[in-house]
Amino acid sequence: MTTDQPTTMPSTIEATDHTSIATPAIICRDVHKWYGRFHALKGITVDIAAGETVVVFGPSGSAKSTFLRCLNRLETHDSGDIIVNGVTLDHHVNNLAKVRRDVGMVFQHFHLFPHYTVRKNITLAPQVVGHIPAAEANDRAEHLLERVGIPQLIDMYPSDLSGGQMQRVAIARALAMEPKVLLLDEPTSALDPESIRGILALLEDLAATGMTMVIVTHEMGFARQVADRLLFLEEGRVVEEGTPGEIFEHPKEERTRRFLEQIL
Amino acid sequence: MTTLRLPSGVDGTRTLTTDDARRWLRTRLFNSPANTVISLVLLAVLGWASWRFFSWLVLSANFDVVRANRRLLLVGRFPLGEEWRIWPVLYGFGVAVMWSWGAWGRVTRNALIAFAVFGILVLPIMAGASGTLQLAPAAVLAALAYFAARASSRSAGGRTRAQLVAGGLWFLLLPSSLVLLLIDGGVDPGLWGGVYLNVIVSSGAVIGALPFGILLALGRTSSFRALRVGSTVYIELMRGLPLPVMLTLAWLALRHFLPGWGGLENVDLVYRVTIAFALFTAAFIAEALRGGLNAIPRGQREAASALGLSGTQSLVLIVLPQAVRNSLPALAGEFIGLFMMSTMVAVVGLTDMLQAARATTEQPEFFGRQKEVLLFVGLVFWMTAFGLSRLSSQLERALSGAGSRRA
Repeated sequence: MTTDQPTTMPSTIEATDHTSIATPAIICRDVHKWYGRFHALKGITVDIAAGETVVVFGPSGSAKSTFLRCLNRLETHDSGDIIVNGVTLDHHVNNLAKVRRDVGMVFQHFHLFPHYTVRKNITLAPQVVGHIPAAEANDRAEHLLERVGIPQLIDMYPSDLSGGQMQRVAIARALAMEPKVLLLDEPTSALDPESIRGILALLEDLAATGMTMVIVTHEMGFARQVADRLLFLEEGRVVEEGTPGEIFEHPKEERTRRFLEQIL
Repeated sequence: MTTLRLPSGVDGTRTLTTDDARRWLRTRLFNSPANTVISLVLLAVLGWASWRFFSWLVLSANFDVVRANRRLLLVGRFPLGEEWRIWPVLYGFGVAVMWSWGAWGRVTRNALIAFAVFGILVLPIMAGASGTLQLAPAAVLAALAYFAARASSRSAGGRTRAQLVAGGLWFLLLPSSLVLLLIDGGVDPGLWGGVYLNVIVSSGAVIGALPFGILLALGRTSSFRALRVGSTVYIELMRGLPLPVMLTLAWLALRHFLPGWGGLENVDLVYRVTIAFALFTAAFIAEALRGGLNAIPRGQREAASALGLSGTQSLVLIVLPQAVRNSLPALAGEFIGLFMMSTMVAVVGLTDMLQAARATTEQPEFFGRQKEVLLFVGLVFWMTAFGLSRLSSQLERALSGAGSRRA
């Protein structure tokens, strides 16, 4: 275990003191996951503070996505604790619904609903999960599309959009639930270079608004600029974590240094 | 030179010449001595048969038999003076079809031509009796419904509303036609007949089979083992049983297994047959839907879960609409097949259109005229099936959403 214990770590796992800015939005304690006999996550311990932007990087097969997907329980972990916004992720369905309302997710391949318009993609969850009135959901959708820069596409279907536009809609869709935490799973990996720049600029703005974000990405330039902290994952372990300055200028681990050399 | 324009490749169209046709014949039909012989024999048989058919059709066919028996063909032995139970349904059907057409699409020139051909082929046979007076207002109402739907679906909101109205019309059509058959003393179901019986049985079966089929498909793809096994057993059982066996069971045996609540065990044969059709079709619908369900990427459910949708919400709002759209061609095929198979009610002694047609051949004054009647029956079935198939491809395009609203 090479993970440093952050000094902000609460003394008890149940700590839910939201008034303190240093209260972690996400707490992971020795999280393990197996796929059959394959040990995917080998004891991840990490805290993510509210308002923090954390970039997770590492070679393929290092279980970055699995880790991310455990944070809103798209995957279930087998041992250890994950506490998101004060709610422990376990087998209680009530917990799950509450967590997912507060945790937005953006996928590599967007996963927009192809049978609905952009408008309906964004308003659907606020209406049926958040129970807000149609008119309000609609206002929110228009406002969010304005924010992600494609207000003119509101009545299009996903199949009419480019990849970059689809990812903007996907981000708007996640934000429409007004989440406290946003998980982004390789949000730019399926995009062309120009769209990548657009999406990264958008995420940078989002980070500046104080949104708590966990981003799996290979865009190291972006990570350097935007991340408060980086996690280097390899084979289901956090090999090293630190600020961009620490990771890029003085990596402590040999493995981190070699990986960065390869991709930079 | 004969030219024919065919779509081909990126450039859109290319001109097909007689040279192309000759090359096609030489390479496909006459490329070896054996093939030449086979081609010649087949062409001779085909030519002979079509010569005989068309010379019969033009020179000696006499559709008086259809004119004289149109009532029998359309409604069987439905009692005289009770037609008021059926005409409103025809009106409603016409309105529902044309309103939906207006709400989802546009009557194209091809469709107009099809209407004209239909009119020329069928109306002269049907015209000339009390029915003509009813058909004209039905046509006018249907046309009005079309233009009203077009007018009200100019805006996006109006379009959605028009489509909802269309759904409501279709939803009300079968129950209200049943009510019409049953109110004011009612007409004994044993007397329902002709093509009306085919329509009642098959649409009743569709309405029963669709929800049941959806449940079966979900059961078969469920992660819950008991459900999966149960659905699979049911589907495979139904798919392995010949339909006539099912119908005979419904005729002779079903009453022994039904509970005696409110005379349920004495329910009329027509209803029992419709239930048998529904149970049978549900298995095929389930299989068609299973393909559509499997084609939905896992990411769709994940995105729904990540947004906080519950399992049921994700199923109803995200998965099922896409599954139905994916399997629409297969589903339409099942429905068309169901309408065709409704002629099987003959097995249990009901007089549907085909049986009515057979009955006419026993009338001495029309002896030897069964060809005309069968041709007419075939035409009616073909037109219905063709209409349904066009409808499904229209619906597919409308549901896909893609391209239609590109700004």
